[in-house]
Formats: sequence, C-alpha cells, structure tokens
Amino acid sequence: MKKILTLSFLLLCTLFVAQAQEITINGKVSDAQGPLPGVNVLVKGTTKGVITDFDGLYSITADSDATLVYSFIGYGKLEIPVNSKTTINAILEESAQQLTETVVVGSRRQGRTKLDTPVPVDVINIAQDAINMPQQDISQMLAAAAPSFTAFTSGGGDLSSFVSQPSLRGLAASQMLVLVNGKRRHSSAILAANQTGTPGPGVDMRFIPSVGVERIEILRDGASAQYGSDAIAGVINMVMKKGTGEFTGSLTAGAYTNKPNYDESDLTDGERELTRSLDGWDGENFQFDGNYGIGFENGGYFNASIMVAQSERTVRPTVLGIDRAPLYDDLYLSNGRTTTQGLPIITNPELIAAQAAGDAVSIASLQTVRGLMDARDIEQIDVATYSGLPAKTNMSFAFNLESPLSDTASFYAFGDVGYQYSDAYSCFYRRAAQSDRASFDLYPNGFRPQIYNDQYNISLATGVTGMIGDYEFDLSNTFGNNAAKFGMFNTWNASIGPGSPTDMNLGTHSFLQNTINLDASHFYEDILSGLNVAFGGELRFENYAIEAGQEESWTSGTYGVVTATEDNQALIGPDGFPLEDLGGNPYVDVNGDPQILEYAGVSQQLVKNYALNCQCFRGFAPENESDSWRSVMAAYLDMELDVNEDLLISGAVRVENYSDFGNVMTGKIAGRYKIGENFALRGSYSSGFRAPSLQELNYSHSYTFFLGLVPFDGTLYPNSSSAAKALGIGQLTEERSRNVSLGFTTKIGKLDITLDAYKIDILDRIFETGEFDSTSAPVLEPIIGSGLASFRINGGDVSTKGIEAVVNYNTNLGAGKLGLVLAGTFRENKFEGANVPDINTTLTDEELVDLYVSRSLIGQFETGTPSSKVIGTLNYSVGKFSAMLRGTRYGSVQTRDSRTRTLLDGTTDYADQYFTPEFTTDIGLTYKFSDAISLTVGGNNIFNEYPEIIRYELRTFNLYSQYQQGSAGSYYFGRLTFSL
Amino acid sequence: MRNYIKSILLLTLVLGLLVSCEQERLDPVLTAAEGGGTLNSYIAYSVMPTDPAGSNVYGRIVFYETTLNQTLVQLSLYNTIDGEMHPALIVDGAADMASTTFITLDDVSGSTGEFMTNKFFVITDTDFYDSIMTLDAHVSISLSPTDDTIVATGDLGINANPVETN
Repeated sequence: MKKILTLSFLLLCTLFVAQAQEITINGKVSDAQGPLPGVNVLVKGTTKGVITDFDGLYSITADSDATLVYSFIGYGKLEIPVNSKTTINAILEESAQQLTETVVVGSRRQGRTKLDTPVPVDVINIAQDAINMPQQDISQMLAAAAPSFTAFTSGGGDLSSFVSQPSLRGLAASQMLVLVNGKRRHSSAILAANQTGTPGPGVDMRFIPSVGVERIEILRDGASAQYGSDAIAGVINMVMKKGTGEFTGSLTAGAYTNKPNYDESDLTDGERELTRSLDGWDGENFQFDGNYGIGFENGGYFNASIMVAQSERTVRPTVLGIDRAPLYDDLYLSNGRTTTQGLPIITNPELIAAQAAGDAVSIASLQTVRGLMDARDIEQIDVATYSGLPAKTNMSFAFNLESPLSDTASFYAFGDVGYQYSDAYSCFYRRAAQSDRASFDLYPNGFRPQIYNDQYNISLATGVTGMIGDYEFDLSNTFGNNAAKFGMFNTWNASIGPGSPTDMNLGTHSFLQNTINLDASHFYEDILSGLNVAFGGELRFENYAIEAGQEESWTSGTYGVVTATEDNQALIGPDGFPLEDLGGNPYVDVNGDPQILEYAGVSQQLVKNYALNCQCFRGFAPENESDSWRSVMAAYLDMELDVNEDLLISGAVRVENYSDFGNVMTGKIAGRYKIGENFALRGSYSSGFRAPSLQELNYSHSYTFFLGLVPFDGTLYPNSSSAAKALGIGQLTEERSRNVSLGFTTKIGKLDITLDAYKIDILDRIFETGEFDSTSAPVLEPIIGSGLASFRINGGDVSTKGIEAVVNYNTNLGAGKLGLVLAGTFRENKFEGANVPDINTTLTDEELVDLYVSRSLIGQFETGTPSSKVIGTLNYSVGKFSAMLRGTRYGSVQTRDSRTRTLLDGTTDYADQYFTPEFTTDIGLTYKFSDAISLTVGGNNIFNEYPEIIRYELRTFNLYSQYQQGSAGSYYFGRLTFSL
Repeated sequence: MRNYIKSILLLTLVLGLLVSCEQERLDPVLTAAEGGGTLNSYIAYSVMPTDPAGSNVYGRIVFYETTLNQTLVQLSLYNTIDGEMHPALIVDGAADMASTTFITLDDVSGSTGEFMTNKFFVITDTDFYDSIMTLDAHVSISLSPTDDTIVATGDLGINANPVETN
C-alpha cells in the first residue's frame, strides 16, 4: 500500500509541477457572518475552478488579467478582476434570487434551477458531500442521499450479485434512464435480479469513479418524450468534473463489524444450539480515488479520475438445524456408498480407524452426524449456506475533456474504462448427504459453489458543440460496451465424474451500444418571455451476445451409466450383490435377482443418477448462444415557453423506430406557475415507454434433470423460440407508461421545500412466467418432451403512486455553516391485473393466471420494497471540522409466498411475512489538518441494525430480509483526503 | 497534453498491477481422516453353499485394500436366514479340512447377508492384503451362534482362484 501512495504522490506531483505556470491567487470568501466554505471560485470564461475550504480559503491559478467569479447557493454572484493581485478576499451577499444551482436534466434550456423546473429534480453534490459519506459507490451514495433512489445488491443468486441495481420510485432498474453529461449510458450485459421482481438489465454505476463526478441530477419524472426509452421512472444525469489545477485524492479503508443482531426467539431450538457468530470484522475494503485536471491555454480542460478498490466478502450464514440440513446421510456414515461399478467408497475413515482400535464408544458416535462432525472439527456454520456481499476488485479510469475548436465550436470527449472481478454466493451449500452431487475425493464434507465474474467495461463519448446560425448544436457519438465472463469455483459436474474440473468457465455475456445524437436548440428571447425550441435525432445500435461456456459446465456426462460389456451381463458389483442406486437401493428384477443387461455395447442402465452440469449453475450452452443486433432511430421536438415571468409551459414529442418491434411515439407536457417570488406550482403529464432490452429478448438459460436415462431441460426460452410460438406467446413488446405529477416548490426564509405527488401507470410490464410442461401445454410436447419451459411475457399492468417531499435548510450557526435536508417518499405499488393472451394450454383460466404471473412476483412488486423511505441529513462545518449525520427510515416490507406449504406449526398456508420498519444512522466526521490533508472517520448503520430474519419455512438461503437496509450491519471507515 | 495522459494512464496501470492480486477465495472444508476414498484394489472369492438344495447360502467374500494398506473384508451372502446371526470365521486350511480359526469376523446379519454391525471388518495388519493370494485358508459361515452347522464356505488364497480381482 505504501508503494501505491508513494507512487501516486510522485507521479501526481510531477503533473502538478509541470502545470504550475500561471500566477496563484489566494484569498478568503466570507459573508456578513464569517467565512463561507464551499463557495465556487471560477476563472471567468473558462471551466477552471476551485471550492473554498472550511475556513473559506481558496487558492487558484489564473492569468494575471483574468476575472474570478464567486458563486454559492443563496448568495449573489460576485466577479472580481485579478489585476495581477495574488490575494483577493471576497464578501458575498445573500440573495433571494439565487435559490440554488442550475440543472441541465429535464430541460433543454440552460439556466433553470431545481426550484424553477416544471418537474422535480434532486441535485446531489457528490464533489462536496463525498468526503463525509461512508458510501463510495455512486449508486450507494445516491441511495443514501435520495429517498426515491434505491440500489439493490443481492446477497446471492446466480448472476445477481454483480450489479448494484439502481432504481427510482420503486420501479425496475431498466425503467430508469442513466445519462453521463447528458448522454445515454449503456447498461450492463448482466440480466440481474432486482427488488421489483423480474430480472432486467441495469446500469452499473460502479464503473464510474465517484471522485470524477461533480454532481448528480435525479429527474423524478417520466421523460421518454425527451430522452427516449427507459425514462419511465425518471432520469439520472451524472455531471462529470471540469475542475482543473488541483489534484484531489482519497484513500478510504473500512470494514463491517459483523455482529449479528436478531431476536433469538425467531430461531428454532435446533438452530439456536448451532448458531454461533462468525464474530470478527469482515468485508474489509480499501479504495483509492484520485482526480486531476489541467487547463489548456485555449480555455479547454482535461480532467481525469482513477479508482482502485478492493473489498473482501461479507458472510451472513444461514445456519439450519441438523435435522433440516444434515451434513451426512446414513450411507455416508456407514461407508455404504458405492461407485457406479459397485466399488465401495470409504466416506467415514474415522469409523474404520475406530473399528481398528476396537473403540466401541467412537464407533457408535462416528455413525451419527454430530459425532462425525465433531471428529472432523466441523460446526454447522462451516457448512451452512452463505449469503453476503461479494468480494470485489475494481479499477476504473475516467476522463472529461473539452477543447475549443473555434470561437463558436468546441470538441468534447468523456469516457471511462474499467475492470471488476467479483465472486459471490449463489448456491445452497451442497451437503455431503446429497449423494447425487457429492464427491468424497473432491469435497469430503460437501462444497459451496461460488460464482465469479470478470467484467470489462468501456465508454467513450465524443462530440462537437457550437453554433450554426442562431442555433446551438451538439453532435455526438457515445459508445459503450460491457462484457461479463462468468465462472464458478468450488464446483464440479458430478455426471462426468471426479475428473471434472472444479473451476469452470460458464460463458460470457456482452452488451454493446453506440448512440449518435444531433441536438439543436435556440432561445427566442422576443417570443413572450422567451421560447426555447430544441429538436434533434438519434441513431442507436445495440448488440447483445452470449458465448457458451466450457463443455464440462453444461454437458450431461455418463459417469453414472453402466453399458454392458458382454451379453446378459448381471448388474452386480465386486461383492456379487446387485448394483445400487444413490439411495442404496439394489437394481433387481421382479424376483429379486440382479437386473440383466442383454446386449453387449448396447444395453445400458443409469445406475447412479448423478447431478448434471456444473453445480449449481449450468453453464451457458451452445443452444443458449446469441448474437443479436438492433437499431433504433429517433427524432424529437422539445419546446419551453415562458409565457410570462410566472408561467412556464413546456412540451415534447418523440418518435422512435426499433428495428425489432416497430414504432413508438411519446409526448410530454409540463408547466410551472409562480405565485409570488417564493412559491411555484408545477405539474406534468407524459407518456413513456421502455423497449424490451436485447438482454430480455435473447437471454436463455437451461438446467437439466434426468428422467430415467434421458436428460431433460428446464429452459427459459426466448420469445423468438419455437416453444414460445407453439404455446402462442408472442414477441415481447414495449412497456408503455403514463406519468402524471403535480407539486409545488416554495422558499420560506432559508427553507426550501418541494412536494410532488405522482402516479405512473405501466401497461404490459414484462414478467417471467412459471414453468409449463407437456401436461399443462401438450402443444409443447414435441419441443420440450418431458422438460419444462418458461418465458418472458408482457404479463400485466402495474401502477405506482406516491408523494415525495424534500426540505432544505441552510444557515450559519455560530461560526459554522449548518445544512439540513429532510427528504421522504411514500408510495404504493399495485399490480392491476394480468394480460393473459389466448395460449395453448389445458389450464383453467385461474391456473393460467397464477402460472403466468405468480403470487410471489406480484407480492414482490407491490410490497417487496419499502413503501416509504425518509432520510434526514445534517451537515455542519466549523473551522477545521465538518460533520455529517444521517438517519434513514425504511418502511415495512411484506413478502408473499408463491404457494401454500406446511408451516412450522403444522398448518398449511402461504409463508408470507411482514418485516417491520427499520432505522439506520450514518455519520462522518472530518478534521482538516492542513490545506493538503484531511482525515475522516465515520460509519454506516453505526448502531448495527439488521432487518428481521426470514421466517423458518423460507429461511434457506438468506437469513435476513434483503430489501430494507441490507444485511451487512455496521460499517466503519477512515478516509485520508489530500489535495495538491 | 500527451504526457499528462500518458502519466495518468501509467499511474492507473501501476496501481492496477499493484492491487490486482487475486481475491482470496473461500476454501471447501476438506477435513477427514486418512484412509477414505474409493477402494479400487480388491480380491473377491466365492462362498459356496454346503446345502445347495436346502438353505443354499452363497455369495462372496471380498478383501479390499485401503490407502493405508489396511484390509477391509466384506461378506455378501444370499439366502441367509432373516432374523438370524451367522458367525463368520477365516479358518486355516482348505474348506474341506477342519482347522484352527485364523480370524474371527463379525457376525453376518441374516436379514441383509452382510456384517451385522459394520459394513466392513477391518484387518489392521498392513501386510495382510499382499498375503491373501498365498493364504492357506477358507471362510466359514455357521448357522447361528448356538448352532455351528456350517451353511457356507469359501476357499481363499492358494485354495481357490478369486472370482474377481482388481
């Protein structure tokens, strides 16, 4: 680590020294009450700027004839010519006109503030807030700061732990559009589970170094008419840093305390006896961030950021009672297992040793699960199913560049390249008792397969902005690619025997997106109080590919099959007894004699029904491979009319053509009406859509099971498959939405308040069906035989409605600055009904609806995520200290079971569960030792609040609910921030 | 400009290399005593009925060699008497010659035709397995602990060829 720091300093000092050629101006910015931290100091006409420190001090390099511009929320802008002075102190005056910073998302016209827009926009100032935040990943930062935003990281589940799925307003990750500097960001190749029930692709924000982000704007309103597909719940725009002339870096290290916290009475007696804590810190992590920018003499800039991070896994085991999850079975304990040819497998050598020693007590003990576990010094927690945060290594580099080409045009480029390795939990523990997948040679006590993933991500946007006549234009090309290679370790394919690899390549998914945009706009000052007209077009092409994994990961081996080597061969082992199946049952005929294989080389018997494919996730096979392209063309017109100083009306219309499913037209109208200086009403109505992603259209995956000697697949089929056509399931179409929102903004003294109510109706939302078989759908029999088939469908209509409120208060308190934010969202999700087409099944209407969109999926959407979330944040800075204190209340969650089952009390019912609201507290405290170095310590969820544990019947994989604050518990960190 | 970009890329690369050590993976729990695994080496002899037309108890006796060079003995008999316990002995000499007991094996369960208490009888002498082919002995199965009528015997070592070996 020392090497890293030393090297960083040396290299960056080199950059710094090489750049320092202009005069340096130092000074202090104050208001009537004292120093002002956080003031923007910009060199006029450039994008070079710095921010004042806790003492209001700043230092900036500029030409001796430049002008410095001082600006801060709530204060009037001040310009002071440098005139070769090296010390400039500035005093800002409070101004009711300067309510807040301007935002660029949601409006094509520049210069609107977040209280001025007709639709709600949150602005999270990452550059300013990051220092005190425990979170380092942008999506987690946003989840901590904005109640409408959530970022769900699965504690386990095949492909799902590799992306922290972002979402807005309780909708899916794919129903939110992410922009970087206003340009569409490509999504991850991974079709990951999300908290709203159906897997879908989301943007992986982890590849963007947070240190390179200036601020993030969250538009909480449908904006498909402005930005196209996906913008159903809203739009996130990340504005990258342009600051120049200063290196800022930070080194953060932290860990989770790992002190389980639950009510022991929720466990069964057997579990209480076995559950011990894996006490001790875990999830240790560090992250290095660095950012540096240089200014060009022509006024341009180049800003670069790097992020290197590594985090260990967290382990939150689910320890079940031995009666429910015995590590060994009787055959194992008694050395009764045999190979396909009938050779004995000594699985309990301890018993052999005890027999040899004539130790009767040990002989008796070693034939019990507990006895053998004790002899091997194994506790149930060692062989439990694990859930938790994946281990990760991340690296990324991002840049943001702009350079004038002429007086009226500039070239710009920004992008990032990144890598991520992670290994996650996705499998139930494979107990040695499970003889169809156990191997004493490889894993004498069972095994825990783990999925891992190498991701390579690249994004590059280039463009030219400028003026053509009276019109501003922006011509850009944005390229993005994400490739994810999956693997699994601690695994094997039992059906090919102990020669199976234990680390397998499961296949690679990749997603490519290239978008060409031409935008033009003009502000007609003389039409009423101003009319902004913007129009443009977009050409986009996308590719999604699945590449198969290695053969051993998906093949069905014959290790458990005996083929006759001579005519009329008896199925017997070396002991002359009939061969036995995995349960120890002999293969005998009706007379009790060993079965006979009649024809040499032809007759076969599946003796051992070993599990097929890679445990526990079948690799992507050649039949799952895909290489799909599509193109999209779009055109839009967007107008904003200031009818007078008080009334703003805006409207937009957009037409898109998808090469794979046709045309979509969306529209939006919005308005804002000011009543007095400090109050405004606002509202909008829009239609929107989300095109089915290429991932959803083309992803397929199978698992295999045996019926007799014949392997059959359970397959999630793409909609273009013959199975889908035979059943009558059509191609996926777009999800369509209608958004209505109404709200107000007001400023009362130093208090800013916004309150917005909204309703979003989504028609034809995409779900995943349950599994059809040839009994429920005889038409599938020629295709799937005795296999199973599931599909993606535009399964039903859903809606969400809610109220969002944000209250900001900023003031001077004593010698310091105080900022308070109270933000809350309260919503209700509703499944309006299934849209079941006339498909070829023998099911009743009721059975079909239930299979089409299951009760648990509906429950996950309606009540599976908190219906309310309230965040209160206090920031205070004084002298060399600054502090952040944040409390978050997560509303209740209710899960619904997919079927009735026998409950712990013996009754039969759905195992539904209600999880009570949760409250967590975050804190960050910073002390600034000098202008160059600050130290921050703090924590996330510092009171170690865990959600309630999952009820007995469903407590198999996860111990805790995943949908409130997560199940990681307290996290503490230290951060060294330095600037040069 | 180019130098700056190169420097930053170099920094990123160096940092990446410094920390790109692989994540430490969770290892499976491999704890188990030595001597486990598949028994691939074995010598099997037939056990013949003394009363083919009557009780007709027959089967095999198999000697397996463990990885610790111990010998595990398995008896697998058909037509044993349900509910009865059949004493089993390895006796010096061929089957048709009464002689002294060489090894007293566990009793055979009449219900299963296999040893009553454990699937295998353990012979700890590490030289035993290699000496089997030269043994002058046979296995003898009695009717019950109280009735030493021999119901099945099988020659071993020099007295018979194995029915199967590996």
